[in-house]
Amino acid sequence: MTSMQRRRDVIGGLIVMTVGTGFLTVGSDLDMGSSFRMGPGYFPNVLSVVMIALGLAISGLALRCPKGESGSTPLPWRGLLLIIGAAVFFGFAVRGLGLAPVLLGVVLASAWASRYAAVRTSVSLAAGVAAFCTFLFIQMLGLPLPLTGPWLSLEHGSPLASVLASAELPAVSGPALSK
Amino acid sequence: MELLGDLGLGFATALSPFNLLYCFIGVALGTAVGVLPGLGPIATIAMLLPITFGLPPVSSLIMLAGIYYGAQYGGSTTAILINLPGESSSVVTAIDGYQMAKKGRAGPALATAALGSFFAGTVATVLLAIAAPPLAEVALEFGPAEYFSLMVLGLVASVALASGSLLKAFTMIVMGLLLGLVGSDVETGTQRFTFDMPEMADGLNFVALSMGVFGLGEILRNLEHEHTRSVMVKHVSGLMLSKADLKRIAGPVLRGTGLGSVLGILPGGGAMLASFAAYSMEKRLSSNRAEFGKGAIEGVAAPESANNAGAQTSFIPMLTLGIPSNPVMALMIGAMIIQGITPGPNVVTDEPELFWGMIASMWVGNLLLVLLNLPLIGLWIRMLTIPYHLLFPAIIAFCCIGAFSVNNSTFDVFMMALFGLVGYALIKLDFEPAPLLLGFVLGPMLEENLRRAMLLSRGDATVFVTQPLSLGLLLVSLGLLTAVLLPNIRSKREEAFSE
Repeated sequence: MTSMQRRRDVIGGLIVMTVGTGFLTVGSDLDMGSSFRMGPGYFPNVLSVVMIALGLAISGLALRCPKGESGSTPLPWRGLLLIIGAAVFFGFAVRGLGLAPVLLGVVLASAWASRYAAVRTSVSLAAGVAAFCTFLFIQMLGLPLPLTGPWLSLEHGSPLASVLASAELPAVSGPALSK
Repeated sequence: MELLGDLGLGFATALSPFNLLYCFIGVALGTAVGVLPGLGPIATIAMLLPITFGLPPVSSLIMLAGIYYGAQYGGSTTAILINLPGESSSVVTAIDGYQMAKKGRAGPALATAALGSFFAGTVATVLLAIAAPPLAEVALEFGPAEYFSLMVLGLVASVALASGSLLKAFTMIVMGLLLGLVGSDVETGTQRFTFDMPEMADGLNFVALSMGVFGLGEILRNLEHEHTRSVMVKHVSGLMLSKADLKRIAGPVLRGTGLGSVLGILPGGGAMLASFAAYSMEKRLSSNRAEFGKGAIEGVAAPESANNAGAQTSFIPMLTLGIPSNPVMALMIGAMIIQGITPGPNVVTDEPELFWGMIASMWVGNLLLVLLNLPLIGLWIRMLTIPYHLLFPAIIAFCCIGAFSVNNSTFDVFMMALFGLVGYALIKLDFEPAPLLLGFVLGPMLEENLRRAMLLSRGDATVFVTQPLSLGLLLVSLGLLTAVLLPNIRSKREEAFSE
């Protein structure tokens, strides 16, 4: 076992113990019941204790190994941020922006997680994916999502319209139109 | 002959134009997935699950099954042509397959892989048709204690047969079981680990979890060592096998099929284990031992037959017992539940059309795969060159829509993002995530049967060892466990996986 593996397993075991403790804490107010009539807390609590024991064993075994020089690989922050961020962005914005614009954003953002990313290919990829997916999911499969959402609508009272209105564009909503 | 009548029903179902179309889509997608870099059958099936909701159950399961065994074909193409196994089950095929390609024998190698797979697929289909119904009948007699012990055996076996650390594989199972318990308790309706969020009341979303861990997690891992692939063989010719070749592969194909069929049924088995075992067996038995590693055609025939046979027989425990033997089967069970079918021994009698239709479709699918893979090999070679950086953004888009579409809920998309992080962390910490999915699917079933068994025995835990069948299953589990823990076998096991 190299020192990198040693460190990795110590951390891994600690995380496992933390997860087990977390489940045990949250599950502590569940009814244990008896072994005859098990309550909703019985099985989860037993598993949580097993989980903590497993974590202890993993860390313990790793600690028994001799220590060496420590080295570590850097975390790919860019990829993590862009890809997880793209999924979170989808969740937040899909109802507001609509499927087509949000997909453009998701593909463009995640494409930059690759070191081979280039502007032209990313843009055409995004357009292609957005076109294909909106056709497949909205046209063919009837997914209840708008093509473009309310945030982009110009109707009175929508966010975009009020932004435009506050930027003093009287053509959008003004007394002249109401007559 | 009842079997013939049943198979007749199966073929009538599988050959209906609608189902045939979905079978074709399934195997074509499966081949593509096998060929394309960094995209495996687990992530693909998870991604496509939401799309299949609108389909009838038979068509959707036919398609999903096609993706799994289709991926075995596609994976061998990349293994042979560019020495990069598309699937883990083709790792050993690359050893001799690529050497053959380097010597200009890519054509015979591909033909051997396809024909060996087809033969194995045919045998495995027949085996499935013969073995599954009686097994289901036995399983109908199972009480909760037997089911509990059977699931324990399944989980233990999947740990014992998995590669890597046993301790960590166990941890993943326990974590999966715990995650599976999130949601309303079946018996009392108590909310468990839901943090009072109504979105969690039905439990964690299976699709979001598997897409997060296996889709996003894998992408993050792949991006760490991104590289371009170069294809050496642009044109493949000479797909016909010579008489001498046929003679050489007959034995390996037969042995590979036999071994693969048996290993596929085992819990925790499936395609990958089958191919490894068949290759090492052939290496010992073959009269051309010296040629292994330098382009022996036997080294392609045996593992390729074995992985296809194993992929198919791993459907047996899933269809008859409702117990998944590997993550892909766990997904199939998830697909059944979503379609409103209760997996288990009742499927054979209650849904004969589904059961026999699926079995027949596997044979049809294998035939389609031979046609797709040999004459159209040029198409797949072109697909080999699609760079990963054009692929994964599209996968992410698909995953997002897929997670959303299950319940039309953005909550599931956030869940998927979270599990993407979890999956990546697991990979970084060297925890193999596959057992997690098995535990997740089995968690609620395991608990339910445990509670029912204890209730029936009035709190007497000895019920698990006094019922002969249950005792037998537990003893097998114990035997497996001690076997892998024995230092002697342990070192052999590590050797086998590092080979």
